Amino acid sequence: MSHWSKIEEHGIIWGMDFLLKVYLIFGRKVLQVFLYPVVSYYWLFNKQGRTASQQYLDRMFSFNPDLSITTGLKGSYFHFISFANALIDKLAAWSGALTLDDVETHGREAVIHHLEQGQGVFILGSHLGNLEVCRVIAKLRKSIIINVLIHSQHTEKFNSLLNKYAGSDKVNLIQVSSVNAATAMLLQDKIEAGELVIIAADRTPVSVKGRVARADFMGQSAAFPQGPFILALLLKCPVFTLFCLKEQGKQVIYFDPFSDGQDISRKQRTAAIQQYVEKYAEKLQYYCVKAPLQWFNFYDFWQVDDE
Amino acid sequence: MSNMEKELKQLIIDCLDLEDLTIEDINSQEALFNEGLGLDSIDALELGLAIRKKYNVRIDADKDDVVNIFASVATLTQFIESEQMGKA
Repeated sequence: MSHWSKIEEHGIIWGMDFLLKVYLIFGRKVLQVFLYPVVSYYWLFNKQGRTASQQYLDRMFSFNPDLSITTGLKGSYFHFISFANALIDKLAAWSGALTLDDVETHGREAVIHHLEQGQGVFILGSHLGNLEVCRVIAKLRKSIIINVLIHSQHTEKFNSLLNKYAGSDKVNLIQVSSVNAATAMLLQDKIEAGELVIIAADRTPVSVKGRVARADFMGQSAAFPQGPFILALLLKCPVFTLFCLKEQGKQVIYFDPFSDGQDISRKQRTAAIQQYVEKYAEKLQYYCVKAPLQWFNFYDFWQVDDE
Repeated sequence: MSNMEKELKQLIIDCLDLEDLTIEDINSQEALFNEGLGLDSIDALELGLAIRKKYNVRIDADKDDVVNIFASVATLTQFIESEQMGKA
């Protein structure tokens, strides 16, 4: 199995562009008509994604037998449909079509409280659900500025598509291929300016092989990146997790406090990072069980390194 | 050893809790990371943040070569001094 960054973004760009046009012109109902053929095409020709999806569903089911989810080929098809719907939501969120009325939020008060005091907040997101929906947070208060850290590899085409439809929200995309001192300095600037910095914390780094920590996820050890947690440690600011899930047709945003930016000495650093990773994996698992089909890591998440 | 180099060495020692080292132990030309002082990539981030705070300089990932700037105390000194000159 390949590392996620080596998998093309499902060659999905032309299809997405088409589907978004349909959505913007005719609305969601008409879109559904077109959605199925396009998704069927991807599902048929993306063997790797299909396999990863089935493997994930099997794992989810054996971890949680009470859950009513379909596994096997049929399950993976539903999973793909869910992914396509999420991509449309993503683009809709990006184009500014999503309003505050479309979302429900939990735990936002604590985050807003920090921001109102001029204190920046570092946020750990994921590829479960729809991180893009968080753009809507910018609409809560005039002064909120959001920075989203994204891998420049692999998502370039999708980002250019996003930019094509980008609304006027105050969201900055910061493209990085690795986390280095320059990135840390830039993020510290944002935090000190009282802004939000969001990073997905569930995909292992593209370049630096060693900076990975393993934690139990769905009953089996999986690799997580250390980078986001190292930043959470060094930026010394309030840290929250963020999950945006679609529940009964409504986008629901969950903020949970993660750490409070206390000083941790260099000697305790390794242990602290491991502890953060485990805490995050636990949170991710909790929300994943809530929305099993909104897991959008279509590669072998539990793969063992060739160390 | 220039004043800036001395200051930087002290900053490295303080910022990374290297209590058993003195500024005399750090060679300005020696590699800071991996071999040499044996610092790791998290130390680089931490040091970067400390330098930003103390000297109010930024490294631009698009423009500057981060790895070369952090190669040694000498290269770091050179970078900070040239940044400060640019501002003055």
